[in-house]
Parts: sequence; structure tokens; C-alpha cells
Amino acid sequence: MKIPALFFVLMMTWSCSFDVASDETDQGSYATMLTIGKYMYVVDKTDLTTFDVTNPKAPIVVDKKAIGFDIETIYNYDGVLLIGSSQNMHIYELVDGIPTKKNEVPYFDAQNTSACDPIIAREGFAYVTLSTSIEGPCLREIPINELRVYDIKDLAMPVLLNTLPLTEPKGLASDGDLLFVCDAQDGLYIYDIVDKANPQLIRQIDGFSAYDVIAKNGKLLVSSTKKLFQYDYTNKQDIKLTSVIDL
Amino acid sequence: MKKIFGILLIASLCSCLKETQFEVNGKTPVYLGYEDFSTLKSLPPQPFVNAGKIVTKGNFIFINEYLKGIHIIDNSDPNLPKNIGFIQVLGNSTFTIVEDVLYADNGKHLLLIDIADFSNVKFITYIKDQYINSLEPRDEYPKDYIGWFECYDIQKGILLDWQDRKLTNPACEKKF
Repeated sequence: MKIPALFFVLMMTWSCSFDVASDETDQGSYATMLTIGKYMYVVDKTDLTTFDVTNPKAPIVVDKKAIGFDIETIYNYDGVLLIGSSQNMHIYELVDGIPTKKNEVPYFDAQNTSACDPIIAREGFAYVTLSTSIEGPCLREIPINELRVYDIKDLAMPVLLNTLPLTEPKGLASDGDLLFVCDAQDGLYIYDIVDKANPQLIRQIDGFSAYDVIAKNGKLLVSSTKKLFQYDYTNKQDIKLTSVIDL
Repeated sequence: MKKIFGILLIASLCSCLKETQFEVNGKTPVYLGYEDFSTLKSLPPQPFVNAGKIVTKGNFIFINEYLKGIHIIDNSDPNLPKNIGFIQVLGNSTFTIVEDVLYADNGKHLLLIDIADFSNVKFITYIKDQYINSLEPRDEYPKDYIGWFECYDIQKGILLDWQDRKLTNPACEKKF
């Protein structure tokens, strides 16, 4: 009887180390590097680099291309890379792991100055938050703060479907029928996307500056500059605060 | 002869005046070289000051602390998440994790760090100049200070601190 108990204790203490090497890595919408299978894709301001990370301690560059300017974020849409820059959404298909350009969707006709504009996508729809300004008449800066919904069923011809004005939108995430959008001033917006083209606001949680978000298995993580919030969204009618880390 | 001597005297006086230096007590940046990895290490849990990008893996949440490193949160019990440690990577703003290797930038290079043991992370190697195209000028100011300072040059390294120095013709000034 003693031996199984000892074994159990050993297993419990050992599990406090990083034995989750095989667990999936999940990232918020501000990611600039992600892994699909044995390939890791890294964006910097101008380039997209593909590494073979079969041995993660010895990565090998297998592709590197200049893809634009002000490149900011990368998202894995079922094996298609959606890359956000201040000006465009870049779409790359993967051929044997190597990115091949499919399309580039400009956000504006005019040049704009911008912070990050993250993108997420699912089931033929892409959601982008833009928090930027464009040059208007007489060199006036016109602020643009909005959530955009694109139909991307045909990657060669994305169509802008909807624009929702926000205050200072940041990161976003989606799971099931819910879309979560951070706002640096307004906190967290929660939308019902049963109709994917038309997000319906069901709740706003304010009182903090939200930056990025991850939604998985009913658990929502929201980062703010000084806090980390967790919510339980398994019941969309009753989204509950689980915990806050505040240090 | 007197006229020429007079002209020469005036000319040399003028050039002396032009070379007068503006000297003032001020501050200068203390740089950490991009290839200096001596500060890459595990630290005890740190406060959130400017938290940003989130990554999760298993029961752990990793959060970037802008230009400082990465917080590690044990989320085995989501009702009681615990801030259990910090990986110091000065200059860091973005990262991902592949198996038990942390890939994190330091502003110029992409660093690989073995994080199998959170309390004792180890530098493995780096991908040189991965972010060289991203090195854009960034304004930095000494905190709680009014006066002249030598401008921070992002090409020279990561900003560690500011130190007092007598400056000659400084270009940067904090007026309020």
C-alpha cells in the first residue's frame, strides 16, 4: 500500500515542472510568431521568415521574404496566414509549409499611421480591429477606431461586410458564438456572432484598459497593463468573472 | 602689416567664439549590448507594470512585460492563479514557445531560451539580426528628471539605466 502512495506523491511534485512541452501553445491576437506543425512563422516590420523547428533548439531558416511595411501581427486561419500591417491584411497560403502570397487587402485608400491592427478569422469571416488615424483634408488627422468584418470565403476576393465604431480597440478573440474585443478605454466588448457577419453586442465590461485576449474551452483571459482577468463564458447569458491577478 | 594683423586677430577671435562649447551636468544612457546575455535569467515573481501579449501552454500563462521579460502564471486552478516567476529578457516585446524552448526578442535578435525549469532558465543561442528592420528610433527619458540628457540611440543597445555625466552640446532636453 505504501508504494502506490509514494508514487502518487512523486507524480504530483514532478508535475510542477514544465511537463507541458507537448501541450498546444495558444496566443493572443498580437502574436508575431506562431508554429504550425514543424514550421515556425515569424514576422518583423518588413519580412516573413519560415523556420523548420523539428529541433526547437536548432531552428533552420527555410524561407524568408520581404512582404511589406509596418507588418505587425500574424494569425493562423486553418493553415492560411493572415498577416496584419498598419495598411493591409496580407493573406498567405502554405504550400508544403512555405508561405505563398494569395492576396493583400488594403484597409484605406489613404496612408494611415497606426499602432497594431490585429486580425482573427473563422469559418470564412475575418475580424480586424483598427485603431489609427488617416490624413484628412488640410493635413488634419482623422481618428479611425473600429471593428471590421470581412467575408473571406474567397481569399482572392475578400469583401468588407460591416464596420462597428469603437473607442480604442485592441486585441480580439473568438470561440463558439462569441467574439471578444478589447478596448483600451472601454474595457471588454462581448458580441454574439451567431450571424457571423453581424456581431451583436451582448455585454460590455468596463472599468479597465483591456489589451489582449485568449478564448478557449470556456475560459477567457484578458490582459490589462497591471492585471490579468479570467472569465468563464461557458454560459453566454451569464459570463462570470473567475479571478483577477493584480500585482 | 598692421591692417593684416588686425584682420587676422578679428578672424581668430570669431572662430574662437564659434567653437564655444555648451557644457552642462546631465544624464547619459547606460546601454546593455544586444549580444550581452548575462542578464537573461529567472527571477522571483515581479509586479505587472506594462503587461501585454499573452501566450498559454497547458496550465501556464505567459505574459510579456514590455521591454523587461515574461511573467509566468500557474493557472492550474483558474479561481486562484499564481504569479510564480519571471524570465528576465531585457528589450523583449514579443515571444512564442515551442515545446520547452522560449523564443523571445531583445529588440534586435531572436533569443532561444530553455525553460524546462522555470526557476533556472538557460540561454541556448540566438538568431542574429532577426529584428534589424524593426529597430526604429524610440524616445526615452530619464524618470523624475528635468534637464539635459544625451538622447537614447536604439542602435547602440538596450536602455538599462541613466547615469550622471557632464555633457557637451547635448541634443535632448526634458523641460517639464
